[in-house]
Amino acid sequence: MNYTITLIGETLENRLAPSVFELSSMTSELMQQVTGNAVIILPGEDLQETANTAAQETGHDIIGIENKQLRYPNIEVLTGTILSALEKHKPQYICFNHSAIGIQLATALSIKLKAACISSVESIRFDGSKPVFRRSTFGGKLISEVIPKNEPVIITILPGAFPAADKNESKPGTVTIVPSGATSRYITVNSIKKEAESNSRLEEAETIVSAGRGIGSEENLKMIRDVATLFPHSAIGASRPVCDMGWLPYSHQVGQTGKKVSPRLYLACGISGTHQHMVGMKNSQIIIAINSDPKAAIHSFADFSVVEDLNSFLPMFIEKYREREG
Amino acid sequence: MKILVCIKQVLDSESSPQIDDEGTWINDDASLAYRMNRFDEYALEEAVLIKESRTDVHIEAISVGPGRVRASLQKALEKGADSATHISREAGGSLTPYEVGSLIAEYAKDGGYDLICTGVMAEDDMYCQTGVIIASLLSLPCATSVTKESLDKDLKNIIVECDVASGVREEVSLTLPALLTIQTGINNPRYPSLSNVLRAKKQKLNTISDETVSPVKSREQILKLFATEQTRNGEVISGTTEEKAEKLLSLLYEKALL
Repeated sequence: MNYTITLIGETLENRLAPSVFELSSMTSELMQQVTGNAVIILPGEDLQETANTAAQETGHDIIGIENKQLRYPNIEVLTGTILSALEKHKPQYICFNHSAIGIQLATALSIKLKAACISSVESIRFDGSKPVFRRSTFGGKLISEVIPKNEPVIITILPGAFPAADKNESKPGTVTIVPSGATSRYITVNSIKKEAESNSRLEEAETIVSAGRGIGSEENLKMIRDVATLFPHSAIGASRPVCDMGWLPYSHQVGQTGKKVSPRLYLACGISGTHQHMVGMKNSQIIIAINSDPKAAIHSFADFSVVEDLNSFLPMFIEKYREREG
Repeated sequence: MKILVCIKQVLDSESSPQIDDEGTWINDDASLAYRMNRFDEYALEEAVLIKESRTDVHIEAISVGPGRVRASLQKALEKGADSATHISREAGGSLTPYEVGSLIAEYAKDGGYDLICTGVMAEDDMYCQTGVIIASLLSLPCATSVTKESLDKDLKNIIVECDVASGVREEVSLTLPALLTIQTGINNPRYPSLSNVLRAKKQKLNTISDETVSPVKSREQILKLFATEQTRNGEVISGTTEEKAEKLLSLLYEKALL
């Protein structure tokens, strides 16, 4: 089979990363004009079961590349294994999720293949039959339309930009498992560290009250928690700086390197609104921003804005709530 | 030990970029304020922390761009770099990560650097590519989104922790020389001390032109730039603190969120 589009899936402990469904949905768009077939390359350690499920659920053909060093991502082994598969199939488009591993692999392979590399793609439009890739730039203030000047074309898609494709109900794709003997000379994976899931319940929450650097101190998290308790089915979110400072564990982090959430209400407290944060919460139904800085970017992404100091506003808000509820 | 830290100068987030007449870049005029990419501040700070823990470290900062980027290199000297190199590119307009990465890799290839550090991404264009391009062109082992590092005494290996997925980190050993792209949270970038500001004034800032380094052809092209559409209303709730609290409460009840 000749494949024009190759999607690179990710696995961790041989489990498929669900972001592959976003790649699959992007592919449907790309195939409006790009003819040919798509295949998913899935690297891992022991893949038969995962590859069968992926072939059923995505409907795409799967090439599983097994290497005993790939229970956890090893970038050197991944680059070697995927490069040999790409050299064999010579696809025109090679697509990754814009994850930590995805973007590193995409970039490294673009150098090996002398390919164009357009990362963090958010949407696609066509200029005739040629795809034009749209992505945010200048911290989200502008959108740029980028076209490749080389082939093949490597892209990474921003998490949440393409809705995850529904599970395929018709016939599954084919599955081919190939062994890879690629080894690493310079990079060794010593261990994997998983933060204990601290029950952040972010994904299921109807309301997320989220804290940014603007809360000022760790002690002020109490105020955020107090506000959250007013709402049914609520959870506490955070921007990356709050987790970097150790005020909340990373399991609470919303954003590009954290969780992607879509609650009914996202109450952003003291969050400046970097593009990296917005990526994680822009699909919320209602966004309300409370920030003392009237120029903070968050205000232009919100449905409602309150320009107030959190230390005076939130206690007042709680007090007013108690008055109403008696 | 030699460390190279790659610095990008970015538009300050309070500046409003205006699209130029061709619609493919912004007007790079005096009304815009620029500063050092925050992710690169973490990369530089990590290099300075390594320098403070050893006796033999030289940190060189490097940046590619027009004359204005010298201000960010000056800042890097103030923050603890020992020397700075400006690859001057006066042509203006956009520069792709491939162009910047190729220039820095070409400059660095015979420099004998034990470690190259970059920020995980640039705040402005957010490609997350430049560091990996440099590493790939120089065939250096590379770790991205690094949140912890520890260098062994004899400069054979570096052990790092990298973000792999939300809440998942990997501990990886790399042989040196290596390249790291640094994520926030690894350290707390310092403000320059007065003595460092004074010292930096006396340090030389080397400049070489991009054409002397190596001609590079970009592999991607910006067709068009346009302003982000505002998708939400952005209604500002006004009044005194008390009135705002009441209005917000009413709104939440109205929408059955409370």
